[in-house]
Amino acid sequence: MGGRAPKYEWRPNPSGEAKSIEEACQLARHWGVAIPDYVSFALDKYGWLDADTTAKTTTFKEPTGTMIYWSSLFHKRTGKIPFLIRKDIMRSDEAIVAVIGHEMYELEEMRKAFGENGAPIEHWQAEAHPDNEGNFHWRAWDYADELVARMRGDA
Amino acid sequence: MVDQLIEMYQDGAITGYQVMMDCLHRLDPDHPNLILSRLPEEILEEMLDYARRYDPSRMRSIAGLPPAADQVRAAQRWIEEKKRQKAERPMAS
Repeated sequence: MGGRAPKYEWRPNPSGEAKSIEEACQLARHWGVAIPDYVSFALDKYGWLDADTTAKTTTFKEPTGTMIYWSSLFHKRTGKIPFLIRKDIMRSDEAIVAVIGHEMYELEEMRKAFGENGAPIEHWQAEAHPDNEGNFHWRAWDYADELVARMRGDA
Repeated sequence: MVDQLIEMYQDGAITGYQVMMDCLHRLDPDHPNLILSRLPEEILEEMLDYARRYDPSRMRSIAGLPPAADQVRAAQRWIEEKKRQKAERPMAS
């Protein structure tokens, strides 16, 4: 995450129960998050994500100017855009809705901006960089905060 | 480690690009065989394409360093040699 971080400290579920991926997606949809059919989530069962990363899709590391296309995000066998999600997220309904909401918001903004013609890697990274105020990544945390506020009845 | 990545790839949890990138980061340039010999052909193809466009002087990443030049070049040599050997192998009659 880094840079712009969520405003709320997500509350763990009182029972300590972890939701499945299917239950998590259902919960996120219940709170208004649009999850396209071309997206898949999987638990990070081997702990590949670090403590600062709640979820992620493919991370590109390319020379300046390399074109990244929308199709680059898709798994060639499944035809879906995969997201790994950290295991501990599944023990908090607020975290589930915020993290999935954040990722879906950012992805949709990327699709609208770059989906048709692609863009050089520096354009994608400018929108995903945690320190660029006002970019898609920042606004995606704003959206996630709104979702949690709604769940708490604050909004 | 490689087995976990391949399993996640086969389960659809991560893309081939991500497997390729994580393997390059962990590759020992003196012993590329340890990792590369276990990767599916399609990942090796993706890695070779990556090596051919890789330019250490202008890499961009917002999530840690890109793989080092010696890792990428060792992978490129290993894959190209494997392809050369395959091409030279006599056809079975």
